Amino acid sequence: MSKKVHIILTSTIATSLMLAGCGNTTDQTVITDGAGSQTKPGEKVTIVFWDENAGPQRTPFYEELIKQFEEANLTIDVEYVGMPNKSAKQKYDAAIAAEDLPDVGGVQTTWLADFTIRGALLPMDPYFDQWSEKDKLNKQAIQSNRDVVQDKKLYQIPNTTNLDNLWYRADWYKEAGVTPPVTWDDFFAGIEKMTDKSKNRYGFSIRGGKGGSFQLQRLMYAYSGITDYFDASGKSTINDPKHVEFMKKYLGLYKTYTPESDITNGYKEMVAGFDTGAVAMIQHNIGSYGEHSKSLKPEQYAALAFPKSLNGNYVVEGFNTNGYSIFKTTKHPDEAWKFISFLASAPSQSYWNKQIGQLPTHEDAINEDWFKNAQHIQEAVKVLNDPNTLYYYPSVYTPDYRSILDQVVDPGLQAVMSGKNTVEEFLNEWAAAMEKSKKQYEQHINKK
Amino acid sequence: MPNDLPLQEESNLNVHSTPRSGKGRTDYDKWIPYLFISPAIVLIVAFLFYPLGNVFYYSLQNYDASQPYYNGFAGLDNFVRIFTQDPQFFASLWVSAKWVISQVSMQLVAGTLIALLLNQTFRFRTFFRAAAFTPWAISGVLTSVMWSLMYNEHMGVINDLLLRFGLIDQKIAWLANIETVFASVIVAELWRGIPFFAITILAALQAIPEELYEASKVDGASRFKTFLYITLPHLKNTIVLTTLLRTVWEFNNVELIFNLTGGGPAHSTTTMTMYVAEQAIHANNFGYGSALTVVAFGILLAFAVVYLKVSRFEREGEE
Repeated sequence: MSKKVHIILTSTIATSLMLAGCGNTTDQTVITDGAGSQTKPGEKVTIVFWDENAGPQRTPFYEELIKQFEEANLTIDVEYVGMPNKSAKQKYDAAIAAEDLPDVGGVQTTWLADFTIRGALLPMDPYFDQWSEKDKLNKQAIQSNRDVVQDKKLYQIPNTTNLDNLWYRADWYKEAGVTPPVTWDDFFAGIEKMTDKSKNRYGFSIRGGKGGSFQLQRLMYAYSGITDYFDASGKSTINDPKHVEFMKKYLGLYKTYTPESDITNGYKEMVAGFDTGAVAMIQHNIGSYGEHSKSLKPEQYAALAFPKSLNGNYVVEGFNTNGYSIFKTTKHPDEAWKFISFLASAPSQSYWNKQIGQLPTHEDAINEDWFKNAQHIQEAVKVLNDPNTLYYYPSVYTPDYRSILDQVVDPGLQAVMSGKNTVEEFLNEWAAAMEKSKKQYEQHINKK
Repeated sequence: MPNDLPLQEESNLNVHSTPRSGKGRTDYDKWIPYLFISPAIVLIVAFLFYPLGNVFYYSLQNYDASQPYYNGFAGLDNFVRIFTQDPQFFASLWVSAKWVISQVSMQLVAGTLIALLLNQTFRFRTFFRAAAFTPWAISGVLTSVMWSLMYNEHMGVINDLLLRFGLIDQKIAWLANIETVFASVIVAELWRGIPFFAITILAALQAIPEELYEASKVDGASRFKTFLYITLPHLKNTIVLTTLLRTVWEFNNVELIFNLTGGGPAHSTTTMTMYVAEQAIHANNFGYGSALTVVAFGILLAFAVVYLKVSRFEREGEE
């Protein structure tokens, strides 16, 4: 073998090692329709359930629900597979490509368009239409789930609703004589007042890392009062002057009234900052109640609705539900539905939502005492029941909606926080990405 | 001795082929080596060449799970986009270049110094050798967690020590500040990477014949000249091979950067491989991710060929 060939071969093998992990081994996903269970009567079957947000704060409650379900359904075993929220979408994506899916999975509403366009989910309309409790589920949530997919079928049964809010240190605000914010001016002024660097205390913590885009969007629209995600001509409202104004004020807090490390804050870091007493206020949703209640005493913290918008009403993002879907590869759709209908029933929803601190979608569950007595739940109910509350609906129906938030908005926000970009440049880039995505989606729909 | 060969071959054949004769025996002998290496070939084809071929195939496709309506043959579109419309590609390539050059050069220098020290005779040498190699034995993820805790703005030991010694007057967010993040990740990776060079160079040092050092001593050579004219030439092949391997590994390093910074803030630590991961794994754009990988492959291949050629690797042996 000549030396040249030897060198090339050696180099090729060395460098090709990096490529081995990057191949995708399947072509387009081909998933067949589930056509009834392939189970003989009385035969014991196992269904696999993927939890998309597993962790010590949630998994034990699923284990309890599964235990109850299995006791009531002796011929069905449920195999629980917990996935950390951070990587759940990636795992689903890989599983869809590999056609190696669970029977049932926790699915966020923002994933529905993406999953259905890739043919991964089974429509549940035939099951749902015959379900005795179907009229007790939140009709708006069901309709939203239908609206978000192309064929308007029902691919997810929502069992919990979430709402973004503020969490603040009630004891510090009281001690400092500062009233919890009612207006956006109060919000910014309170943050300044509550910052005391000599005590290593900051007034607020921004989620600048992964997932920050979701929270930022909800704050922007809650501030501006805008309820159209796109105007009549298809132009995005993301870069509306009111949003520019808000962003300048909001990111003006960074490093002066917030920790420097906020630029890389994910959920865990942001909540840890609040729960360990480093920051006086964060923005998240009512679902982080479980974390705060473990670290802080009830009198130390409280939930607070976002201030009303510049137009004088609450503005809330639609599609903020989570639920369960059946995947098309299942061989046991009947058993899968049985499990989903159990999880969506009033007792299960009540148990689950009470533990994780979120809003049930079943009307029987919202009439229970725990629901009426939980401060953070009632703060959310105050907003949702306000007759003047308005909703805006982002373009979650485009399959690359989530990808834009992760790939364009999250790093874009960091670029502004680090001074690499201006607010205007960032919002224009975000708006352009959403407009392009919508246009492509509509072209595809029109072709069909 | 050409006349000895047929006898030797025959005697070797007789060991295992007594029951066979004629054509059958020849076929058996012809195929048996292939049979023995076939498991290795199957594994290499399945786990190296098939994925490799797939990456090249997908680099010519539009295959984006978040935009499935455009999936299909793309020709060279992905490559055109990389070189003409994607500033992030060049930015990440620049970060990779800085990362690889700084890592490999600093690891080599520090690793050589440590190897030279550990090659001396002193008390507790075994303990110090073991201690020096420990970081190499720790998993990448564990290393990342350890360093991210040490760099933590609020409770990290680095800020605490610097404050106590009066070297800083307020806490620094090492991994969040665009000015400090790259150097911080460099330090963490250096801690893990130096032992690799120390181990391999120490092994090479131990293979240098002692007589050469004795001769140089007799000739009155200084320590520096002994290092320059005896040690370094004997280390050459080891250095060339280790730096080549380390360059490929550091170019492909994902775990430490991914866990410490995720490529941020604002892409300031997004290397080429992180960018591939971002496109192929996070954005589900397998076509574009594959094209980026092919480009990275080309870069590494070109580097390896040129480097081995320029460094005249193993030339002495061939001559």
